Amino acid sequence: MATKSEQLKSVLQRLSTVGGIKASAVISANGLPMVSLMPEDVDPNTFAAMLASMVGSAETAIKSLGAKNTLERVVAESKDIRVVAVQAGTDAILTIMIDPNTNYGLILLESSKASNEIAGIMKQ
Amino acid sequence: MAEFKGLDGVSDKDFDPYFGIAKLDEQLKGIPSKKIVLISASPSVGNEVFGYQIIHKNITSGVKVLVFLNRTSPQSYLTDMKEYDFPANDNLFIIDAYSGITGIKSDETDHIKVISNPYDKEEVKTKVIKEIGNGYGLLVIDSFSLLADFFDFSFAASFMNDIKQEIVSSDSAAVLLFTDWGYEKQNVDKLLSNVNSTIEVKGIEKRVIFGQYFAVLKCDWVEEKQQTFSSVLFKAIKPGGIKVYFPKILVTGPTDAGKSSFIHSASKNAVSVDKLGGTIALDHGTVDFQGYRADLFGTPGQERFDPLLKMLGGEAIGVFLVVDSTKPEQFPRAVEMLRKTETYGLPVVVIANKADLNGALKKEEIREKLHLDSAIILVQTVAEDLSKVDPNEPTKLKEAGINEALSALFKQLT
Repeated sequence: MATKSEQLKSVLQRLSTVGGIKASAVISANGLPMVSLMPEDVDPNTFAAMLASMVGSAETAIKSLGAKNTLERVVAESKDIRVVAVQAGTDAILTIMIDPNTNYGLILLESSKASNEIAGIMKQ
Repeated sequence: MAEFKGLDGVSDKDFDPYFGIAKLDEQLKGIPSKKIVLISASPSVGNEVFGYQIIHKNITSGVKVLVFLNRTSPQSYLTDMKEYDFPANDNLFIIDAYSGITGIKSDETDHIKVISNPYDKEEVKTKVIKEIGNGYGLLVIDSFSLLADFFDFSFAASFMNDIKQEIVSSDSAAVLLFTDWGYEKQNVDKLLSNVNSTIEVKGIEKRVIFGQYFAVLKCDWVEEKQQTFSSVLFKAIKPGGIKVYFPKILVTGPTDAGKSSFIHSASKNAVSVDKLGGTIALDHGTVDFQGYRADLFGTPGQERFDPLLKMLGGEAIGVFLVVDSTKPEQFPRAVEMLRKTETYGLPVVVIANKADLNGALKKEEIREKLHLDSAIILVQTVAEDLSKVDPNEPTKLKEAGINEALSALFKQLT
């Protein structure tokens, strides 16, 4: 049977075939990189730490506003890059970097499917 | 590469040859002559970088090294070594048992000996054994498992016997790289029973830690009492080679104590999320120190960010607690932060920063006010240049204090 990291990698590989997704990674909720499909010049350690703290901060912020459900995703945008972080169970976060001029709806759909799979793999 | 000293500052010049790999040298004190070390890796991880690093360590310390190579050509081997920043020099000699398989003609040079017919057991054996006698301090075989694939395990076993005899009589040592492709256990065990030390290299998936580790399984030259070998996480970094790796070390403490300054001074690529001089989400930096690599996560100090502390502390394996030596009134907050990050009880080193400022408490006073257990190490740090301190930027701290702190914590972590 494939190891967890192999299974996670294959989820990311499938995601990368969706148009507009430039890179992706699974990081732990406390900021450690687990698997990634990213350009070589990106430092996955810094990236994971920052993304996890974004998600953590957003979670605290949304709770303080009285949100009844858990945080689903955090989006950060610039003109050339959009980063989406989706909760994948309690321990992991799926992050994808996308071209902002693509079919965002489809990407969100695919990423939420993928995050469910990741949550399942993490539970094994 | 700088001389490897290890965390105790013990020079490796007393022993030859050495691994040049942090932790391994500290645990095993190098590779004594007449000994055979087998490094057994699972296929997904690979052990070739261990070979590169051991070779580089020794050729740069003046040890003549012979490499028996059947995994790849000498040219691509040397290119790969170079990518890890391990250039060859005149002490490196290679026996090429690869080119003959591919049919590419390889010319003998002073540093590359060629086995013309790698399918010929006798030629392989006699050429290697004869060559070891020419004054080499270390023989490296990359890869020994390929020999077993190519011929069979009984050849591998008898070859190992011959190597053992030869290195004993010529005061040499050997490192065999072995990839375990799921061979029959009794064959592998038989090989292992004949070596002096076995080091295992494998992948690990524990909770959210996905990585690679090495562990000493056996070593007959370290006294049994001192055999406290544990699994050690590592990363193979290009350039740089094998680094013992700590995925998360927390840096916490009250506001304005110097957490960001510590992280920026200790690491080469620190990143901060800060506004007007105070950290608001976290600092992150990667530290390379004496063959170790660690990712430092720094928390904000202000209380309004406390909801983030638990996330930042998760999976941390050690803590630097930074306090301002002039502000004892913040010490209760420092201890509270250990609790809030849920890192109370982990190995901790206390950093008493700003130790040279007016009103700074002495070490003993700080220990007493923090109620520190006598086993906890306290290190004082000071700014490199007080005139350059800018309240809105991390301050550069003096290297001596930083290194003392890193060394004190890393020692406790492995």
